[in-house]
Amino acid sequence: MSSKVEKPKVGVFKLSSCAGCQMVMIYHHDYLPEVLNATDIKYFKMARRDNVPEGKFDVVFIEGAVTEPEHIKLLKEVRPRTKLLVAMGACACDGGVVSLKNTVPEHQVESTVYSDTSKFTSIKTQPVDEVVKVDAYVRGCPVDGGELIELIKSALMGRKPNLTNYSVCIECKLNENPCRFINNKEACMGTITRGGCGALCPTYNRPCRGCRGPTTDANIISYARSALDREIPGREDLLKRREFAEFAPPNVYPQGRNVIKATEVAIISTPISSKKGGSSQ
Amino acid sequence: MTSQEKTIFVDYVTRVEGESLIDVKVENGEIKELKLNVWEPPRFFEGFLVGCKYSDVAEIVSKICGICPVAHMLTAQRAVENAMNFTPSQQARRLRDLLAWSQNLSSHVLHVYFLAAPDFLGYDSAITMLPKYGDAVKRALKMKTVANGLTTIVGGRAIAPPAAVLGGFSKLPSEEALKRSKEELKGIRQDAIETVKLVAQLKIPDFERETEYVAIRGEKEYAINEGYLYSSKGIKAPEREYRKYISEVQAPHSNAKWSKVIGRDSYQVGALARVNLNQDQLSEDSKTAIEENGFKFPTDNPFAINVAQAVEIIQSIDACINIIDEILPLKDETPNVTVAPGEGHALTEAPRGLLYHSYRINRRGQVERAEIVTPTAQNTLNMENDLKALITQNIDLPTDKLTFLCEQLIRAYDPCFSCSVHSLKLRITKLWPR
Repeated sequence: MSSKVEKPKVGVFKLSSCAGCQMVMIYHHDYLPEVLNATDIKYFKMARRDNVPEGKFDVVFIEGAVTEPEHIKLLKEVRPRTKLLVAMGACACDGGVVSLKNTVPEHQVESTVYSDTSKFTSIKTQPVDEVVKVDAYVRGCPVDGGELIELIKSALMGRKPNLTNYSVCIECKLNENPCRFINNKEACMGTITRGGCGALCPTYNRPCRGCRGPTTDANIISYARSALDREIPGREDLLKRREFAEFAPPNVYPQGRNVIKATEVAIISTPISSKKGGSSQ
Repeated sequence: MTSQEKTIFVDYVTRVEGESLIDVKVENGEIKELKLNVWEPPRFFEGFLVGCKYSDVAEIVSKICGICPVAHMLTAQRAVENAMNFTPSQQARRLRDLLAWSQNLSSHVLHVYFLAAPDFLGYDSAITMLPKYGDAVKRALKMKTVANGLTTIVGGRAIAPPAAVLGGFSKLPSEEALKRSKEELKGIRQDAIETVKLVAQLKIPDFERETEYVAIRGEKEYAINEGYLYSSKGIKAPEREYRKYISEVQAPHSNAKWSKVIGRDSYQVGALARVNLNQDQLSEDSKTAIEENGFKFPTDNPFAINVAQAVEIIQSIDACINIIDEILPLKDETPNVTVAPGEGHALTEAPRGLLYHSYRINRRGQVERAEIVTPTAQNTLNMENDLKALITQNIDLPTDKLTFLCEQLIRAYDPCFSCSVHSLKLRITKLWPR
């Protein structure tokens, strides 16, 4: 079954990650025949033996965060050879769970795990767009299969993908969940986090962890103040968490990425028991 | 390098989860050097878990591996609960078993059909298998859909399920959905039996090497999430004594760690270890399938890992059906764990084998020490020993065939190198006499 139109060439590359997002790709096998028909998968190490890393790509998916100099090299090699580069999942978009190690000096983290750290070349965890330009983000930990399909479809059709930019709160209300922030006094991040997950965690009686990153108009400071006013315990745990680096204080990304500014970090990271609205760093 | 020598280089073992590299140097018919090299970037989970809150541990570790997030989650929950001296309800424990079995089913189907079968059938991937083995691939997808469906019903999502929390479940599954899932499971039982038949037709390389098998064993049933430490050479001990029997050192040439039984040698964990040790506790259907297809356990052929996985596909389905029957109707309950300082250990069976988590929690509920030993980390040294024996026995094979055989052995192990917390890539360099 050969069509006249040349099929777009697709590559899936993995940096530091758990491969969960690639698994979501494989789990969405209902679409497998269609996707296979419409695309030419050139590079997907988890799925096939013979991979072609050379040549041009139309779409490249990057899973995982940058934690090695080798990753930077790979990204710089791949970027000029692809039309579209997609960051797939929380690690690629924001640093993800591996960026928790950024809170501790690198050597300390390494020597906790290994006695001999001399061969390691690990660097601070960074999201993909700190290294190369990213054309599209598919968010979540792991990504939502439906959004992934939407992205692939729109890439095939050459249109802008219709991805969510309203907050998790909207979806949570649609599910008629009681508010965990107000009722349960939990540091639920739903108000400032991009939806698209169907408010999964709050629907399962757990606070949103913000794995999808902030909405473009998120008022993070107002959220932090509001949590402070309500004396919600644990909110500083969540906001200080570097896991989803878009929420993270700028010391992780000195050059910017400053959704939260230095002065604002102080407000966020003030322990509840101490003075309100503290100003020290 | 003289003309008497030759180099084989496989820089990346594909179709394994994570990245690995084998380095083999053979000179004049003898192995000069053999290294199984894990080079996937280390992520230092045990490092950054220190200081984390007790209630965040399970969620963070579920991000170690995208194939077996459930296993890491459940093991961490039990380890933290053990540290706090908390025992979850019987219902919660059975729901966890159900989650673990559903993931075992999904993982084995994926491995047998998509990662290992292409090797045996001579294909590059399941994608290229589609035209000729369309029915088999469809069967695999059907079983996978049911398995992932069940994980989603019980846990809320197939990967890193949010419903399983410390102490139990934040939301109970719908009884209707469980009943529906039970019917679906019955519907794929025949597919599972066909899977064993398919595996029976594959040509399994003739190779054996004696080794020790380690798994957990249950008092009454084939263990998955709870049991005692058990081995083919006489270990029988509670899970908290794991460290009395198993030691771990950092491998000199890789990011993984090597495990050994103290005072003995490397050992194997995984589906084959479980079937070898616990076959008396398998379901009737599984036992029949073994018999009807002429398989024999225990066996020392590591390529039989795939057979053991196929058998466990039936076992998983039967176990899920039993548990659903047992737990319905569900009792309404909310998990409630009180923070207490202490040290806790847990052993479970992840799809790839024995998984060990251990934590020390302080009075403020923070992690002071974290230790995670994954199945692949435990198997690495045994894989190396198998590779050595395999190459020695097949030293006369042409280079490309031998390389393929080595790769096939590694894939049979179903290694998951992201999971080795520390992850892996494979490359074979060989100086080869002609």
